Amino acid sequence: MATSDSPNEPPRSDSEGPSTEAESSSQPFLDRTSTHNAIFYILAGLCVGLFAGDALYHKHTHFEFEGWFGYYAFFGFFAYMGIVFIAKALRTVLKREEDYYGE
Amino acid sequence: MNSLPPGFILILGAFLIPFLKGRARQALILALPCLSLGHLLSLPSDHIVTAQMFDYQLAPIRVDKLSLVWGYVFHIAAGLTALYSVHEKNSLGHVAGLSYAGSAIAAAFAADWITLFVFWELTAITSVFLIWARRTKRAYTVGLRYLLIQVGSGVILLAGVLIHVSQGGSLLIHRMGVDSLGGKLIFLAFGIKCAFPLLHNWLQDAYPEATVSGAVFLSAFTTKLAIYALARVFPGTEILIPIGITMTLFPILFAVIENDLRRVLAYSLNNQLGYMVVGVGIGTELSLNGTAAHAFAHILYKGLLFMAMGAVLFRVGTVKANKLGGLYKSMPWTTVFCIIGSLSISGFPLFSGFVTKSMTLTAVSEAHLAIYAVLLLIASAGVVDHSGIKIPFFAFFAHDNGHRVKEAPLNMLLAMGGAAALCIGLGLYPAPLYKILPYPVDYAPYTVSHVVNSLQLLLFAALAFGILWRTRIYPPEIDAINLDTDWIYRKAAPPVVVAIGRVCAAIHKAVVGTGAQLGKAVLGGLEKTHAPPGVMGEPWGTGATSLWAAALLGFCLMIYYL
Repeated sequence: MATSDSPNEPPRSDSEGPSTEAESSSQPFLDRTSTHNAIFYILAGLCVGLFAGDALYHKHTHFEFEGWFGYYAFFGFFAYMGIVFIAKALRTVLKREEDYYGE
Repeated sequence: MNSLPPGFILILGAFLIPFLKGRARQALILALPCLSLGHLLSLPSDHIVTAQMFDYQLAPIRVDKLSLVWGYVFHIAAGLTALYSVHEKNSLGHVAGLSYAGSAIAAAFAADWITLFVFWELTAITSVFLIWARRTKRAYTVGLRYLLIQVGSGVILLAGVLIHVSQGGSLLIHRMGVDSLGGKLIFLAFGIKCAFPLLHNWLQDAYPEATVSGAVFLSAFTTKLAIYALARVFPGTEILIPIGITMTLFPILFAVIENDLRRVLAYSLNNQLGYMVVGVGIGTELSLNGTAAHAFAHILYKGLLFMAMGAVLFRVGTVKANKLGGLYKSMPWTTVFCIIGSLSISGFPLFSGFVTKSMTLTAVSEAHLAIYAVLLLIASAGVVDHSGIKIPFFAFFAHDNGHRVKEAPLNMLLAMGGAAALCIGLGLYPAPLYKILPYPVDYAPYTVSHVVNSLQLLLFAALAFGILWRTRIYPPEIDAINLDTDWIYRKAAPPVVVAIGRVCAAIHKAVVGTGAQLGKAVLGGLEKTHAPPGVMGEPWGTGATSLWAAALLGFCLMIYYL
């Protein structure tokens, strides 16, 4: 696992680094940490709304478990998490150098 | 013209391309798919053309509702990819791409096994040049591997057909089972081209090594032709359901940790084929409609995603995720088109994947296959990751790697725009697509339940990504490859083959060496007696010769009288 020298820099959170408001405003809109945070919180807000929305309509289901409150929301969240964690574990076994095959 | 197989105009016309230059050549490249589509549209529906070859009854053309779905979308894909690649100066890619498209179209309309075999192999032979056209040593090696596997699939198909026919089966293609040996071999041949689990790795090996436009061509035809063949010959074959489910799941994991974004798309393609294979396996009218509709939509959005990544490769020179990022500033149009492709493949409401993939999912639910329905839903969450988020996010946003390049050329943008428009158009108004499906459609994608549940699944998956990314748990993109089944024939098998070769050489040496020594000993002995100093080697005098001759004659005379 190459977590220590990650070449992808996740967006800096407000609490760390030199990402002050003054510096951010000179950056393009989509590069600003404030924009990233806004997108994330809007997404989270939408999710909350959709989750609550399950109370407002009659769900058409084929299986009983589909009718559970927030089934698809939980499913999407945990299936995604599961896939990423399994893939991360798989990488520790399958990862090789780029010139492994010598081609 | 009614007896000219669909696709022939593309195959033959492609070979005129190298003889033209400039605008005339570009005009021909763009005109060929249009002419070919015009020819297809001019054919009457439910049209079959038969021909006699020796004692065999062939049927090179069958136009019916199933073949037409593939005929239409193959032509759209050929046209858009021709537009995408029209700026390329080298003729090789154009000739290979259009003749490959034509072969796939002709194969989809073939109604007998011999015709299918010929075009099945022709798709392999024409398409390998889309990889070799990259003109690198690596592309050459990858192309050889690809060709071996593709031609191998054709040879297995032919073997299956010969056994099938020798056991009294018909040369005409129709529904069959996998009980007979012939059926099994044909199933295997289809399975190789369809990238079944463990037979899949040629796809992820070859497609990312093709040229910019070559990968777009490749993404459309070979595997979807195999899906068509499965839908034609093996609908309702139950083993296809677990095979398809496995195909939807495993490639996702590889896509998450793959760094080459065109290889991510190849894994994602494999995952999408899984849904279609499940649809064929269930074999109901709804599921087969689902397979056909999904193949149609998939060719467009997958082509669009390959076009977007091709444009990035064309401008930046790499599609390694860890080398990209921030490209939305330089390539805003490509970014928008790519996001449309991503939303379509993820099955976001108002985009094409939403109205097609759900048909298969509903068919699985209606067949009361609860576990399979759950597994397909997990796969749908996976699609959100690899194609919905990973492709656009790492290429165009994420960490800005400082590439300041030009936007993609106009013809590429027009092709991407056309594909994107179709992705949205099908999502907003699926009626025309539903109308051309093989069976009557009684399906409404836009119900409150379906829209809300899809949005919940997709947005909560996106939220999970947001959390994993912000907490740095999401696996970073790094310079590395991941082992897959190609390890068997690229790493494990060669030393074994070399070792077997060494043993054979040793045996050969021992046998030949012993033989040579034995021969030497015999010859040495003979030399002693028969060479000049030896008893038999000395010349005889005339007297001795005549004495011995007389004795011999006397001996014969005695035997005669006795």
